Amino acid sequence: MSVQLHVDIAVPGFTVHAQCDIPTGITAFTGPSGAGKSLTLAAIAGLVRPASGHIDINGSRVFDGEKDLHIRSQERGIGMVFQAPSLLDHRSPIDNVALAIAGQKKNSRRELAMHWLERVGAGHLASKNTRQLSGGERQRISLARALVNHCKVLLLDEPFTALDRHSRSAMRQLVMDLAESENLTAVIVSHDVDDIVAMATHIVLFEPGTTVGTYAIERGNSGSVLDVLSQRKTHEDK
Amino acid sequence: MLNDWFPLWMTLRVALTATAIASIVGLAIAYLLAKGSFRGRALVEAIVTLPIVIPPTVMGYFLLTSLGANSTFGRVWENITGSAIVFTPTAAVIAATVAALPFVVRASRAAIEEVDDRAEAAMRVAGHPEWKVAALVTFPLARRGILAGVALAGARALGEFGATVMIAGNIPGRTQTLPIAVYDAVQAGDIAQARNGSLLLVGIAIAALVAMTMLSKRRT
Repeated sequence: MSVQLHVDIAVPGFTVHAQCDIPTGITAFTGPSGAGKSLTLAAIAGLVRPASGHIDINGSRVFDGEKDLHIRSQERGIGMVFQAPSLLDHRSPIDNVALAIAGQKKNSRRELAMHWLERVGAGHLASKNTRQLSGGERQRISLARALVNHCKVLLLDEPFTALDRHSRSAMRQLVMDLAESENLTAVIVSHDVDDIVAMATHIVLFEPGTTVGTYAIERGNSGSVLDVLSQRKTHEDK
Repeated sequence: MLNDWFPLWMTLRVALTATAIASIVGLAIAYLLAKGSFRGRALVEAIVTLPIVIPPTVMGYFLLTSLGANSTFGRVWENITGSAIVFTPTAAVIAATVAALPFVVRASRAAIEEVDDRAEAAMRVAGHPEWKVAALVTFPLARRGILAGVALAGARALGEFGATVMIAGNIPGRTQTLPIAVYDAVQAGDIAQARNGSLLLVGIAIAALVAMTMLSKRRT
């Protein structure tokens, strides 16, 4: 499972040129704010249509600017977690996960939702009032919602930003465990060096409006991460 | 109390039907205006808003010329049903619907635009088609604004007078609504009937608005 992209994405007032090859494992998109990391993630998810280029997910072309091909988000087999968990506060946590399942009977949906809530360590929250959940609990529900359709590509857009230190560490470990057990290709947008050191096996480095390159790093080795990030500093100095 | 209860019955029937139609049509238009990107969007919005800014008599004139016996729609309607559409209870419903529509559209559009698009995106990437994203996420999250629009639309339909009197007329026992009956009572110097009818209308409007406000604030 991998994601390859070579696209130009244009939104009013900003264009990003993104080129990278994302292998199975956890890849971090990092770089300065406003560089186009989240926009690139949205293009992979099919939420934004690039101006040109192509995107392949597991060898299947999901976007081709020349052939006017744009496979909809619904058909890309992707799960996504956002910075703000964006749950439906008027529904219970189990409903939030079950509603994300398309095309099954209600009982099956709830069973599957419960299974994934338990997988993310949130089974005990299933029937709680969603409004009363903590940030970490909401992100766990959000993660279950993203994985409930057995996606193979998981996109995480700064998912730990609003979490405290303890929740952040627990969520990092949870994502790593799930990525390994489910054989996921995960992409995480993060500015946090600790996130990258702890989780990533690859880094895609961004500068404003473009990707600089994709780098393999040794997980847990802060030296190899800092070596890559220092390239960004070198680019900035130039 | 009222000498004749027909105008009250007629008013409730017209207002409820018009509010239901305006809510369904208005919500669809609001969704298209909030989410769609098509040419002429500003024009569609202006036309839908027009009944708020033009005098009701002008709206009545346009409806009369569009639906009357000499209009294309009027002739088609008469050929199908065997009778004219103007000066019927149906005409009163049309006038009230047109008057109420902009309130649903404007309030719902604003509420739909406020919905967190990440909540919608999470459902899209999960595999749901757009109509289901709207039904599961957009409308429930926008429900307060939508209900506020429906409440205002209901109040507007309840009090509709100018356009109604022009296309439905003032036929006691057939098309006469309570606002028109109040006008009639004042013209005839029957101040007691005018007062009773007015108080009834105010009471119904307040009850409807309070009920809608409570409904929109209710938590599940």
